[in-house]
Amino acid sequence: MPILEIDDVSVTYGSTRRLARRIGTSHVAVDHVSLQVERGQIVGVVGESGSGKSSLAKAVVGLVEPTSGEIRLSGQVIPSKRPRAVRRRMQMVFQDPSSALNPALTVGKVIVELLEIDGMGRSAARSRAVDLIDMVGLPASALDVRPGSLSGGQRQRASIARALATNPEVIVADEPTSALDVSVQATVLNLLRDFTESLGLGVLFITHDLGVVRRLCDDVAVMQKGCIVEHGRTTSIFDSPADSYTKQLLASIPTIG
Amino acid sequence: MSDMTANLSTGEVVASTRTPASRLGYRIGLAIVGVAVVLAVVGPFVVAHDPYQQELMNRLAPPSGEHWLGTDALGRDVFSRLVVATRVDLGVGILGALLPFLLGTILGCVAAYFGSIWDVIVMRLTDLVLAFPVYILIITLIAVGGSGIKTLLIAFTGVGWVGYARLVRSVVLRVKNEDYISAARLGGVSHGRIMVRHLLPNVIRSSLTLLVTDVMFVLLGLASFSYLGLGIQPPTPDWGAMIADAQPYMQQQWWLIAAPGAMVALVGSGLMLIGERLDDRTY
Repeated sequence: MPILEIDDVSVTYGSTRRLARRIGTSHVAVDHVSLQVERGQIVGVVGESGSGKSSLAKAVVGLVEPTSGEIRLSGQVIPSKRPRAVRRRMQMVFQDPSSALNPALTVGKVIVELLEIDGMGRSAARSRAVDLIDMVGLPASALDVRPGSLSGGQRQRASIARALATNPEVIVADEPTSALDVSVQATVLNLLRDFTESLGLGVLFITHDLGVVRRLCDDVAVMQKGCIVEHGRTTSIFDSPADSYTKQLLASIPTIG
Repeated sequence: MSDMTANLSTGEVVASTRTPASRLGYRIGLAIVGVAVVLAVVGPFVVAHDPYQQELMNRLAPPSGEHWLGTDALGRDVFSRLVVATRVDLGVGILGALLPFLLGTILGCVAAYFGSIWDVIVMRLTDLVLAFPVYILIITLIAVGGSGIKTLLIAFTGVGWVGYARLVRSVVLRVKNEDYISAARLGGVSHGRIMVRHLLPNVIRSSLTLLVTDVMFVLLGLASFSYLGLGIQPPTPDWGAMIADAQPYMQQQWWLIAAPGAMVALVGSGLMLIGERLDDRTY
């Protein structure tokens, strides 16, 4: 059974009243999308800006409410008002490392706060936070600084540690590397790959970077104007794209030499 | 109390006001307010005379070694009264700025964070208060509630929260869409905790600046209302009332009116100098 099932999900912004739809003040960002993510699998969602991929990511974790369709986690349907425990089973890694961590709080405080919600005592939470920060390859001292004194790559590692703090089953990564240097990108991607396998996570990986998809993703879905135009194994889509838009995207990858 | 727009300074202004002169002003402000606070806290315990003790045989005495600033129309020691008045006025001034600060910060935060109906309610309330001339509103409240410190505090709070609410709302509107707020929500952090731990630290700096300038406005307002007999009631000493009492003797015993007047002007300027500097730092 897939760990995450997205079934016929739509997201509409603006008013959903009939009149507003008729006169065009509402905007359909995600249009009846279905996707599955297996345990230990990374599924890429690619598309250009405005294709609805970020809206899909937000709908999956519950930051925006889908206007139709349902999302299932290990086969259970997620109610539209998510209880805290359900919300904690899916976490998100954000695109902009400078806004992903509260500049007013130390990294440790943010992580410990999430751990304490589980009823963990302060010292247990602290030692778990040290474990988490160690898992992402940062020294324990990184817990005691504010994100302002970390580099972009370090912040993104800290964000991953924060996302792992609630022991999630699914992680939605919304362009986690697009704000990073190429040299740092690889380390963050490897980290995600490792955790997907070692923790048995399901990862939905949102990106516009086809090179990253090829390296990282098992499956890939191509989105255009809110719809999935092609979906399949990464290798088969890269080798023999069926949809004209996919062909266009693949042709736009710059080649060297 | 203060006009909101005065605080929305822009980045370019920051560079130009951050001069050695402004640092000097800040230090002078700190020194004045520091002395006033020390005077207010320890002064009443160390003054030589009882500020309420009347000595009718020794009315309107000129300054002397015994009575540093002379005696007033009822033969009370003016210096002692000035010191006790510092405690009364600063106390009410700080409280009269702190209460609206708390109320406005909470309401502004709730309005912006929860949005929809909460935002509408709070914003229409601020419009309602802003549409009234401030002093008319306060005088009306005093007319209804009777003069005295309690009514004044209620009046200052009822009017003053508006500036904080609007300021805090605008900051929260910006911060609440940051990814770290979303991340906290996903992690199961409650709304209350997000507001207190994640939003307020980002908000508090700008409203603290407003707080310092507001103490000055409340202080001036308090002195004005006491001067008109609507504020602090006799025999409790207060700068405004002392100025009013001294008015008939302005020609001969000018120090009676100059001393409390100078205190209002000095402490007011001191607070303004500090507020100006904080304003530079915030943006």
